[in-house]
Amino acid sequence: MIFPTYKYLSATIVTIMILAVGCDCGKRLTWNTTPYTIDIPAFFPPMDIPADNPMTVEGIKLGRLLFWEKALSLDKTISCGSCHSPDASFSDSDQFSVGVNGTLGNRNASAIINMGWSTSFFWDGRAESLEDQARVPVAHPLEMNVDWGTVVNRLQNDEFGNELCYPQLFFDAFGTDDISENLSVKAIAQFMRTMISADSKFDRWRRGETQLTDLEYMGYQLFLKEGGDPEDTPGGEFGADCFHCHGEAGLQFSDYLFHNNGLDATFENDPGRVDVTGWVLDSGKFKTPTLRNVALSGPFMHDGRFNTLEEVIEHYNSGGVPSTTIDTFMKYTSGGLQLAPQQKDALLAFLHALTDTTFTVNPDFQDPH
Amino acid sequence: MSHNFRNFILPIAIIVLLFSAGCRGCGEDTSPTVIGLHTQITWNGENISIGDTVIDLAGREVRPEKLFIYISDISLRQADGEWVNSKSLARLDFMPTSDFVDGVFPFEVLNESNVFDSIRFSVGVPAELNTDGVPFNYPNDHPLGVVGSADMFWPLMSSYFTMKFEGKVANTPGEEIITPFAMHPATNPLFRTLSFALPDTITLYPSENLSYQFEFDLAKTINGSGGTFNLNEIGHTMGNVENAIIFVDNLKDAWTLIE
Repeated sequence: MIFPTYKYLSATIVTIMILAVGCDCGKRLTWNTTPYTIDIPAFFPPMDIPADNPMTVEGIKLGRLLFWEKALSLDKTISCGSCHSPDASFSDSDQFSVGVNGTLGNRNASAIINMGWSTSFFWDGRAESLEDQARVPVAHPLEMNVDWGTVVNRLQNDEFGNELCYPQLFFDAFGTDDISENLSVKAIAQFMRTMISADSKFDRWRRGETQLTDLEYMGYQLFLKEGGDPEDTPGGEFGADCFHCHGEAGLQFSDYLFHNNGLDATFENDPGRVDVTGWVLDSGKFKTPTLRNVALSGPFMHDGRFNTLEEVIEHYNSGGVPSTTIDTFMKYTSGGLQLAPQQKDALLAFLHALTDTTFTVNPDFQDPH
Repeated sequence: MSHNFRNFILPIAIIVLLFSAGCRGCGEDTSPTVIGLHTQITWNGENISIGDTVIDLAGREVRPEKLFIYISDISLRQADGEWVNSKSLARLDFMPTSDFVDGVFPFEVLNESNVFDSIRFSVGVPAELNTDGVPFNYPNDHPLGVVGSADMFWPLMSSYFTMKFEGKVANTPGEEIITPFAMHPATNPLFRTLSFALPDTITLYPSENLSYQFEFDLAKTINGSGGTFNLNEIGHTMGNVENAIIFVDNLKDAWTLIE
């Protein structure tokens, strides 16, 4: 009676040990990370790295795997990369992204490009760090719709094949194989900070490596000039008036602030920034997106209402729809920008000169799975 | 005699050294003196918030929507007339009500028992920092850096804006508040320095902190001793340089030291 029980017990213990070894993949010996220094492109400002999340080769490697990891969604069908496609400069070419179970979002997925210099994230700026940004889509009911506890449990215990061992990767990156939400978002943020674009034709022109065409240069000058006919708009210079919000001081073509660019007269459909601040003057305001790779990252605006850059230019040329909070730069009382067809073509040419395909095809950013 | 002198001199030198080191190490507070300037925005003397509706000289409704200001060179005047400059520079964002700026005077700048009778500061970025400005060369937390100067740098002129005051105004009283105005003075000629006599002469000791309350009356920037202009005629960039000059010249009327 005793002997068979012992036999079963031994078999059980051996089975448990085998299973345990299976989960406890890898060989965690000594923790020794490799610091990663970001190469700041010419004319770019310094990038602020959080003191509690220094960049390491191991952290970036883990972050890239997690960015493309479908186990971060409820039904394991989508990853961050599913809605932030390289072809679209890591945005979504659909107006609204499809979440798990086919649910549709209500805002267009922003392009992930030079996010290490951004000071707020999402169209309404509700996240103030890349780390906090990375938390949101996983748990969002219209996106990946899974609680972080489930994700952590999967990464800690599931088999992923291809010798992919998340406990080992977390140990390599952070010195612990005890996987957590915080360490996961830190790794994703490290990876996203490496996603730097600085090789558009405009960048190469700024570095003196190439020439803009006459049309592109004309578009750049329009970009920098005040908008409107001075007869109707005091101070107008017949420009396109882009620079106020898409400032080029740090070559990110965004002021990182929030504006109402005259899309709607009321804001019931999407109140925007006011949902974060509670300040009524923020109603209908959204974060200024970068113009880098704008030719690749349509559709445009927070709700993806415009499919083409021509439509976008026409919107600004019209002056927009008046409302309480419409930006004072919009020319809604003076007949719009009144750009001539050639000027629109020039502006379009300049926007295309901001395209950097070396960024979108960079092998370091592609799906490693 | 010489031998005895040597016996004394060494212990005395050691004692003197110890004492002097002790004085520097623990007896003296070398932290800077901080002069805080707290500013409340008003409209004809009434406290307001950005976003409130106010009435202009013509009885039209006005809604201020944005107010960013660079404040620099907070200085104190000594009894002998010499100004002590903190070389401070800050960006004030009055979104939505009030903001403050500190003038930090390093310990070395102030001598003990300095007597001061006036305070002054400048509106705008000092000329030596406003020539061929390059925001990307500054750290992100610097007021002239790319992030710190967001919306306050004019790339075409390589210049920082002195301040930005924007909003909308009704064309006639009771009508919709719709016509935009944007006062964007920039470049060195529109830099202004404002001086205020202190209510009482102060004796300031190193490492002592003080704060002063100011009022910034936006209505007086449009109608003051420098002149008057109509908000619904200036559009963007104030329409012309003359209006911009009136606007910055009126700052001396608009800013008041309260206490």
